[in-house]
Amino acid sequence: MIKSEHTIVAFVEDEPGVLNRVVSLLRRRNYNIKSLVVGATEQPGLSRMTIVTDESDNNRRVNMARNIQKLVNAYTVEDVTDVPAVIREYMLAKVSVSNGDRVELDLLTREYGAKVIDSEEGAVIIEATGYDMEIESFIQKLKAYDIVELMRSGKMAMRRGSHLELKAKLEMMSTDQQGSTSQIQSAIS
Amino acid sequence: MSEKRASNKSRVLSGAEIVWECLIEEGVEVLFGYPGGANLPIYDAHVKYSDRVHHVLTRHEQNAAHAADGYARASGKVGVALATSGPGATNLITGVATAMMDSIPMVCISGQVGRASLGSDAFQETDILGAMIPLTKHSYQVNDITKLAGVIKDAFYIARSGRPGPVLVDIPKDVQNETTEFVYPEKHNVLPGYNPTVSVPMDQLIEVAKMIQEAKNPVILAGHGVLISDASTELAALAEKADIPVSVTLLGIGGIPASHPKCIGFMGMHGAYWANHAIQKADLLIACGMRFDDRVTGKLETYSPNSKKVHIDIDPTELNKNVMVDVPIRGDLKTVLAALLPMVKEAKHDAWSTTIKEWMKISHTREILHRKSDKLFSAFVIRDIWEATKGNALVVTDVGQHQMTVAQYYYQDHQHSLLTSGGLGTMGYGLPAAIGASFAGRDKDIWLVVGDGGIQMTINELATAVQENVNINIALINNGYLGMVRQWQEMFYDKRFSQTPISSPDFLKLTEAYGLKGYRVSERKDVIPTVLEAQAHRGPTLIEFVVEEMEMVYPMVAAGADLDDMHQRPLIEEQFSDMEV
Ligand SMILES: Cc1ncc(C[n+]2csc(CCOP(=O)(O)OP(=O)(O)O)c2C)c(N)n1
Repeated sequence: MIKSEHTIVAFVEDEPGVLNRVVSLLRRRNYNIKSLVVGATEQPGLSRMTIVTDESDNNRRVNMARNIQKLVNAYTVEDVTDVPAVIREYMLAKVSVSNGDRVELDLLTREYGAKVIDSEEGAVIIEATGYDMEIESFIQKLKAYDIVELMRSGKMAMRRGSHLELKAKLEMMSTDQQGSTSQIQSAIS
Repeated sequence: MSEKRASNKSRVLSGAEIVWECLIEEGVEVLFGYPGGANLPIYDAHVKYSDRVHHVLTRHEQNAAHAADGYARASGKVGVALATSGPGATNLITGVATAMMDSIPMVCISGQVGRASLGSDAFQETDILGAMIPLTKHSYQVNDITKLAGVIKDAFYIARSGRPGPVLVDIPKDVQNETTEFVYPEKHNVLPGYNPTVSVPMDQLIEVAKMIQEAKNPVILAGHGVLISDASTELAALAEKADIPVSVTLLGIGGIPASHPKCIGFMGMHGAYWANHAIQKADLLIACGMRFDDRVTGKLETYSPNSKKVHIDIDPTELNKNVMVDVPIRGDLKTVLAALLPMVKEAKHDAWSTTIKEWMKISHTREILHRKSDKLFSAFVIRDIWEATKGNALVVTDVGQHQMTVAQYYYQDHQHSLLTSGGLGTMGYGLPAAIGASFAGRDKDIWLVVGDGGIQMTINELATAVQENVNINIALINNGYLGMVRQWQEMFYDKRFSQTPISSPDFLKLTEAYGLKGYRVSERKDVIPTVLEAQAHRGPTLIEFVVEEMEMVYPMVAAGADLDDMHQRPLIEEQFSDMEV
């Protein structure tokens, strides 16, 4: 079965303009980005992107990873759509709530493992993390109250298991950078 | 040698001087450019380097890029273009896009406003890096002078390695003026994720060898990759050993000699009737260094429906992009073919060869060259230029009917001897590219074939040709129309020739004004003598061939039609009744 979402993780150089290159590429090749998250990693100079698209064609999925890999600023790219992976989102919601409803809201929040992180002047800010269905369902429940603001982070993905090959590969690549005649095969080639 | 060592000793130089030092280190002997405010320091420094790097002043930056492209295609080296910021840099864009589509190694250097002004909409500031990201293989803006030499080193490496392409290096003016110790790095410092060398997938090759052995009607499709990878010998060896006909793409022309017994010519929209039929009826396609452009496939859904397909390309993003294949192989073509050859068994496909010959006979009954006519058809002109030059010219074309006529009638036996804008189809490419090619040091006469439309797009370069006194011969095919568009209007728009009749200056007067040798030919008998006379002349020449206005390029596959659904030239007898009245 083809999943409706296609998720890849790209390891790229932490340089100005690299995000621009990735996004420009995806636009030019006509991919529709559902979410894109970029951030720092355990290695200085290396950023990590989780890119989710709605691409359903398998060849185009493969070629998307290859296209990103082709960017000179890319270290490596992993397609995590069909491997065991943790794919999570973060959500912030501001809910306006009367004192009477507060107990019930706290219960709901706890039920979803979420947390009230601010509470002022009749409004609370709740943070939640989870996979998309959990977040979705939490939001549905929150609709019983007055949602003033809502923000979802987009998804972050990480493969399950130790997956030490990745670490080894990235370390090798960053030490190998001088005179890179490296024969390392990229994950997708 | 001693000079080389001296240059590696560190010296304090300005950014502008470093640019020239790096170019010299990369073996650049000529570049094409245009000065302006933001690259003035680089031009000023050139005064000191002019004996080592020859600068050609084109009359427009687009043409500097095209000239660098023509030089690269003709020499196999990286072409270099230099422009100022803002309008200078944006003028490069068409030339860069042309080079990108055709995988041409090129480094473009643009001046930029000073770092303090970046992002302020300063005079002649343009976000050229942003604009070039989708059009280049890679792009740099150098904001730290200590990185300048390394960036230029990497830019050349990226431009020429793997699948070649253009690289932009944008340098703010104050970086050009700053000074630092200059040391040219020994090695590039490109991320290892950029890995143009891949190992040969032996298991896939075993499969391919088996497919070849089982095939009855195989066809090899040879693209530009054959030339880039220098795989002609291996390609011909494979074709001979397993008796496989080879059809070439526009940019693959010369990858196998046109006179090679296994070469069945040019494929695609204006390809040979028999080549397209062979592809459609094949049971095995071996695509080598080509990218299944829509101009060579026709309708994808019906493309070569019964064949197994093997695709070998250095760029993995080309595999399964347009045409889905059974065996996609990422690799350097020469290496892959060399590894494949010993696994392939000798074979003979006589029945298949006979079938293809039958298709050839069918098209010969419609062949325009067999027509006896007093009229001057452009096919006659190209055929006669081929004869006069003994097929040995370095031919450059522009874009349009004449380009396809060259592909069909200048039977090219040599590699890297047809320079043409294939992927982008850029009118105006021809003249500047021919000028660029003339600096490649090839021992060949250069013939540019160009239409009356295309030459007027970049005709200003006649001045450059004269200033540099380059040995190029221009065959201007003047049909009074934007011929190729007129052809589409004739075939698909009910002969409404909307904005395709085009007037021209008096080209003889124009050549006189520019100061080059000009000729005009309107009769067949004068073609060869004039070509020989022009060729004997040192310096640039232009022959205006006044040809039939309404000529069509046949055969033709309409855009989106099946590849073997070809509009054909009327039979010779019908051509008479049709055209003589
Ligand atoms: C820059 C650019 N603009 C427009 C076109 C579209 N176009 C393709 S062929 C052609 C006509 C070319 O006419 P001419 O140069 O006279 O050559 P001919 O076809 O008559 O041989 C045109 C307008 C193009 N390829 N490039």
